[in-house]
Amino acid sequence: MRGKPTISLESVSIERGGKPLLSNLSAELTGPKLLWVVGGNGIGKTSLLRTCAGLSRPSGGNVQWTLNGTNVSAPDIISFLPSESYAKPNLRAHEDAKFWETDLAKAKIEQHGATLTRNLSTGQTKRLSFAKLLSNKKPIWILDEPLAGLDSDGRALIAKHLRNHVNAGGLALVASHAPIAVKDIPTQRLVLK
Amino acid sequence: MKVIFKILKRDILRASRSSGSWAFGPVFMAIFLTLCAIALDGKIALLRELGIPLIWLAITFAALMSVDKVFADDLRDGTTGQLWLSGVSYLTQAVAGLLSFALIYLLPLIVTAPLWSLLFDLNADVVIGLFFALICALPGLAAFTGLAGALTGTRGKSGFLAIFISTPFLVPLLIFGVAAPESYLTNGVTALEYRALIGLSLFALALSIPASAAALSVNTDR
Repeated sequence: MRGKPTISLESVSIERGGKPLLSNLSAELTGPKLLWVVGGNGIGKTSLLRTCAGLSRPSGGNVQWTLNGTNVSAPDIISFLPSESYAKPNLRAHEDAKFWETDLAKAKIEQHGATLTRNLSTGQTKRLSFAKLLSNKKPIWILDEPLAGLDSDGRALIAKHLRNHVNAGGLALVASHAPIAVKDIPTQRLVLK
Repeated sequence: MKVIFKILKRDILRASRSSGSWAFGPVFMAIFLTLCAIALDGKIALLRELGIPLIWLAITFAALMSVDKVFADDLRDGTTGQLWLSGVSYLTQAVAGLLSFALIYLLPLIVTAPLWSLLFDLNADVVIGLFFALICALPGLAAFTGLAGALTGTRGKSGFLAIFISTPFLVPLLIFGVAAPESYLTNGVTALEYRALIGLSLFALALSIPASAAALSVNTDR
């Protein structure tokens, strides 16, 4: 695909609301790989993912993003699926998808295109967010609770896209309480305690 | 440019479906100015004298009360961060946000201002002068109140904070804005006050766009 993407964490410390969550974490996360981040509620999974996505600054240390050894900025290589929806409640699903230049068919919710996003179910909302993630062909995917609220078809859909992404050389960081069942791809677990 | 129009189109569509939230400002203006006219006891000379300052005050208050409409929604639901990740810089988002705010929330205030001038029995030429002054000040009003919106971020209405941030910048606009309609009668739109309003608006844009972009970047980190 698009070269070898890497996120380098150097002595990264993360705080939230003045409370230290992670301290002195160093790691080099490189594709192709699925990294499953697990840990209890409030342990810092979301904060770690947001820091890796460049959306939050670490309280200490440094995060760097590289593609084939060249430093790049986070928006060059990262797509982020947050746990909460960022669809505008008074837009229809097809309008929201058009704004983000994606196709609802990618997440198999084209039949709900005329529905206001506030009237979508939790699973349909998650599919809409996932369709937006798929609109960018970025080599690093960061997904926060991608399976929450999804039915078995939805889970299979995400597993299929994750497999294709990693098989194409991509890196996927996934925080999920539900097991990530993606076969035949290099998978690693990062347990936060 | 394409992204700015895309955001603008989305915001206009959302405003059109928001049960008239965009009309809050003009309704506030109507109530405020009607109460002022009643409080002045219908004394025509006094109404004529205070009409222009009161209309300017009403527009300023209505603008400040809409501060949370500029960037707060996008910051709260994570759209600002997602737009940044999809390659839309904070600077572009700041320009788009200020433009949306000016067109959706401030322009209706300015367009309806001549109507409220009837309450104060203002001369037609003075009303035309007022209208041009408001048009000249529109970018400045949008820029300074928008900056307050970017700085207060998702912290609710933050009304007092927004007023404290914006007021020092808005005072010069008010001073020249109130004086402009009188000058229009003698010098037309080439009067010093109109040039000052345009200059202040340009200064406001030059200051507020990068400052709003920086504030968006900081407020995305939460």
